[in-house]
Amino acid sequence: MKIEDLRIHYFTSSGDIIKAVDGVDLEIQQNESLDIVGESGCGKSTLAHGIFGMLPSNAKIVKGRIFFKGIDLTKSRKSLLREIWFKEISIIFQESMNMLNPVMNVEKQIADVIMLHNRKISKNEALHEARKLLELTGIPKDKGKDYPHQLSGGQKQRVCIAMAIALKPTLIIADEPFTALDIIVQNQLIELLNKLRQEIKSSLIFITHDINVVGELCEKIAVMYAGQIVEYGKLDKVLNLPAHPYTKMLFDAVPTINGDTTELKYIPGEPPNMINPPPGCRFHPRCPYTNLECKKKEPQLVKIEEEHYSACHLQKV
Amino acid sequence: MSFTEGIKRERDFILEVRNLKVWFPVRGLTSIFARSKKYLRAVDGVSFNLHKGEVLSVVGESGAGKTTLGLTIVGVYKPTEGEVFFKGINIHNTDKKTSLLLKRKIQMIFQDPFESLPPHMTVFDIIKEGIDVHKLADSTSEKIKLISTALENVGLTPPEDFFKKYPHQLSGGQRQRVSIASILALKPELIIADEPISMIDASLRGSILSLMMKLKRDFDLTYVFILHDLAIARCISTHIAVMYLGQVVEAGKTNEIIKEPLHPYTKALLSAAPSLRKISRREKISLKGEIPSPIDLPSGCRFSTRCPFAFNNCRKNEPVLIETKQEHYVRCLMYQPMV
Repeated sequence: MKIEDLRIHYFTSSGDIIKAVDGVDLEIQQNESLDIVGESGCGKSTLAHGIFGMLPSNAKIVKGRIFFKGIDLTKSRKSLLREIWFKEISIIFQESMNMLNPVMNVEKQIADVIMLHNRKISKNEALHEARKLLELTGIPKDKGKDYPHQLSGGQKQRVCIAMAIALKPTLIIADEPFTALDIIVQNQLIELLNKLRQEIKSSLIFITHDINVVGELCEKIAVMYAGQIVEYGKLDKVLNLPAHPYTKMLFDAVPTINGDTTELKYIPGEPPNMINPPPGCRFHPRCPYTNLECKKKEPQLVKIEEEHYSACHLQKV
Repeated sequence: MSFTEGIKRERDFILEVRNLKVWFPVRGLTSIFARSKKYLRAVDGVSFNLHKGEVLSVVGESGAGKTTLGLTIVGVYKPTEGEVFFKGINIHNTDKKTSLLLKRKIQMIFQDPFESLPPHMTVFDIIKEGIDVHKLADSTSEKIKLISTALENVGLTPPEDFFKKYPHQLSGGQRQRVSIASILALKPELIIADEPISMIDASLRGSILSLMMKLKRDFDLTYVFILHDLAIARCISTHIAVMYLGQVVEAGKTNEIIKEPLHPYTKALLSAAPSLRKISRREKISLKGEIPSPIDLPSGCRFSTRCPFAFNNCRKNEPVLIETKQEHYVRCLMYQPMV
């Protein structure tokens, strides 16, 4: 998958344009996993929905292209997208667990997904397959016939994982899949997703605002701020030596359980308004290192070392 | 601070919770026909007391009863058993006048600043409401002064800019500041904060917490935080109480709990806390399954169904909270002297 200069804007009824995603370039190889981290409103969910082709009606891809195995998804017809959904690209939402059909038992819902893409399979075979998937995700055998309301949040999210991997997709997009869950259940599911993903050898885009989860799943990380990617690279490189001031301050703002310091840190100011983002570098009003150039010129992602890119004027080599 | 049932009742405890139980009757067909009534035991025998200026963090998974505990302390729920004392006054059993006073002295901050502020009221009206209810100001100019100071204290300056704003015009961080301002205007002494930052962006969490800590010093406040994140509890509190299924399973000074946890559940919570820089990661203790229902509680130790160290005795005998060393309490058979 390759994304080139993607811009997704929302058009509000009052005539404002919200530039949710504003110039994103990304590349993800087969069997690779990428974390997209950012605060709420930075455009990470819009990006995910844009890739999946499920934008709300008032959002539009105004520029850029999304190539998936050589096909430009932004120009594809709905019918083609339907072929791709779940078979090639599947998605797990934060609210996925509330999107299950309440009047259908869960194994049938999974069987439906299987049958939709494989017309030759019989209903019984599909159900059998669904049960196998449920077992893989650690749902007790007798729960397959249960309806969503009979399952706990963690179990419902397991069903969604089962659905997402049912057709062995090439790419799984997970949009804050575990935020509503407790930390212990979250841990269980992260381990599960990791294991299953590696079994079916699919790529993963994991979107989260929870910086603590970063590094549990992925080998690459992209940090988003105000619709743009400000830092991108191999996980250990970005973690150990964050290059962009935003990344560094964001990481520092998260208290750790083992660290030496219990001091509370934070980034002053508020995230920018996306209707009128600040000129130049979008982080400059909150950045402690701002100079004149930052206020005028928009920085580009530049390579600072092998597999590590950052968009900051201060890093010029 | 102590976490076992009060031996002596002292005036200098700002908050004293004694063997508090809050049970909710379960309604439904099965309970109509059942011989004995079923209860959801949200809080089941919690005791602790707080000195002025202490900060207690109550930590646990959802369903542990943390929020019910908080709501009972502010007087929303009546206890099924046990008492809550504020400076020696039983808050659930006083006359109307004292009760109103207590409602001013004990305040609560809620999790979701998007829902806890009334959408049809301006910031000015939201703060004014409390001042009116408690008759803290007579004239309009006095009210304006109180409201301005409250907004200044939470860092919303200049305050006049915010008077006419509605909650939807504010960002999440600003909203939480408004809700803090609205209770600060009432000059409280004890604040229960129920997950005050879980809906706020990571980069701003620190700013809200630092603000609350500054207000604590400036106004001599006492806090009870309800949290699910031990890492945050570590940064702000003097004491931590870990709750599981309505009971305190471990409690003590913050450093003790973080550095030398005793209860398997605390250990699991600590090892589950994902850490960004994995250098000094603890040995991972994974728990199986999810928290059981507080209606059908497991027999014996409530944690025995998920505990990796559980032995037969754990399913038979219910452990009690004992003090293993100075100010460190644990509820686990492993630490209980043999009877």
